[in-house]
Amino acid sequence: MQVSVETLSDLERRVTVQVPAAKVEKEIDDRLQSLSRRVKVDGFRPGKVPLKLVKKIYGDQVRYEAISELVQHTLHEALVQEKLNPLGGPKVEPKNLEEGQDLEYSATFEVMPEFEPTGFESIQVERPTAEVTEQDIDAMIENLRQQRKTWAPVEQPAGEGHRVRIDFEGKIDGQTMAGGKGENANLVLGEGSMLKDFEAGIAGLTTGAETEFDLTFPEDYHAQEIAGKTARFWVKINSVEEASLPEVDDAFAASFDIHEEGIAGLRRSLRENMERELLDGIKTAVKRQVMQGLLEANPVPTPQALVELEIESLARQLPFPEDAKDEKSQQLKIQLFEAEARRRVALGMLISQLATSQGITVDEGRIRNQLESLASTYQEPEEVIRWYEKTPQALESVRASVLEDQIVEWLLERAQVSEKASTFAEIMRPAAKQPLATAA
Amino acid sequence: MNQERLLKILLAPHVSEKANRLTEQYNQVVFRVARDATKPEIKGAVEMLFSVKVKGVTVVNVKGKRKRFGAMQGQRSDWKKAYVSLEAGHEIDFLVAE
Repeated sequence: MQVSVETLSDLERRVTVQVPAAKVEKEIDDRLQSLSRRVKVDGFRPGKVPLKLVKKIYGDQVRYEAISELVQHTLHEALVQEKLNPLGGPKVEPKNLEEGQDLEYSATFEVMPEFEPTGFESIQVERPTAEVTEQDIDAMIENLRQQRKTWAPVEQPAGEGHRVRIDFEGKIDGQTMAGGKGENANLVLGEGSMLKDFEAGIAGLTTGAETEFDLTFPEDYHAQEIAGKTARFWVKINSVEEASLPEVDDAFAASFDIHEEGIAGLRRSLRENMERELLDGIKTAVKRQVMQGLLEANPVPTPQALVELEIESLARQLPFPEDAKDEKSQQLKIQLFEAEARRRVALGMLISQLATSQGITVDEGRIRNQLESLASTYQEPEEVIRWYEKTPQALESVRASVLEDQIVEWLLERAQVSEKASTFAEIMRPAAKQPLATAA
Repeated sequence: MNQERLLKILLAPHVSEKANRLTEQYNQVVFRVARDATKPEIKGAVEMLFSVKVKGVTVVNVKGKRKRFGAMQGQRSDWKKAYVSLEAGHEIDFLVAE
């Protein structure tokens, strides 16, 4: 067996393997021999079929099987011999399949790039520092009040912020339009859930009033049939309601299941929650910066095979429709996820490389902690932990996240960390809104 | 001999362990032939269709098997089998000829 390796690029290798004809023929003959003991042909007792006949009937099929198996075998041998470790499936191209000649094929695949992560010292990290202030808690309470507002009817002309109950009917050219009719529908003015012109049409009306007005749909309206058309709307106001926010008192606290100490208790529990969130938020922010810094300090080539796998798994999480296999959606998928996938692959390689080169191993105790904190949010923590311990994939993902945390800590010891004063609101905002996809 | 008649003589090669043995040992080939075919006709047909020289022909009339399906008596058709000896150096390879 002859093996030659070509380096196509940083990551791509092409292995060309030659298998001597004799070996191929022997493999085929062996298979035919064993086949001839089993096949049934009319006119012959089993096992008495002449080899010539077996070859005539099954020759091509056996040859195909033998070659594909040989390719697998020899490729494996060749890879071991050349100490190559392909990522993803190799692409095998036969070069010479002629009978009686040496079998020759080439296999193209990608290998794990070899690199040494460096530049930890140059990673710049700004650790935001903040405390949960009384104002932050006030804001949070205000938020909660907004969520619990109640509506009470008022005898006032409808205006911004009022909720109206209306019966309405919209007609285009005398025909009631689809979805253009409703009874006792709730509408909060000023929230933009209806077209501005519609809101303008009923603003200033009081309970019991009826009105009719023309409304032209904008050209870019989402429903194409009616975009740009003019409809005649009839609207009757059933009631005008005004919002009132709940008083911040013990009853308000009780509605959040806090029965002791009233408002003070609510504030304390809010503070606890917010402080925990703040810690998580700071950790996330720091981690994102560390990862970004690591990535910038080490531009590593990303093997296409891994990127494609990552794209698939991202698409599954989204979830991208599984059965969308046509050209267009494939392209869309690549477009959507490629940058993120590339980033993740690069980070994954960097982390595993760092872990091996620096001898960082996963701390079993931390896995346990992580599991417990994961489980503590469920009703039966013990059950959850048992499930994790029984499910290797799940445990593996926990392990990966612990390793990631350890790497981050290790890097933080070396990186340039500066402190930056910040506020609760500022830290929480990017963490919540900005997915990792924006970088890369 | 009329060609049209010759084309109707040979029906199929007869493939069996015995036929295979005879081919290997005595250079004979076995055919299923038309029931009313004569030895000269078989010889002519084989020589014409396979471009070989025939040394001799022996024939045998095979009685059709009696078959029953419940109470129904059945009878398969009788048929004729021909052993054709070829001159040395001539051969018919059905496997390739197919």
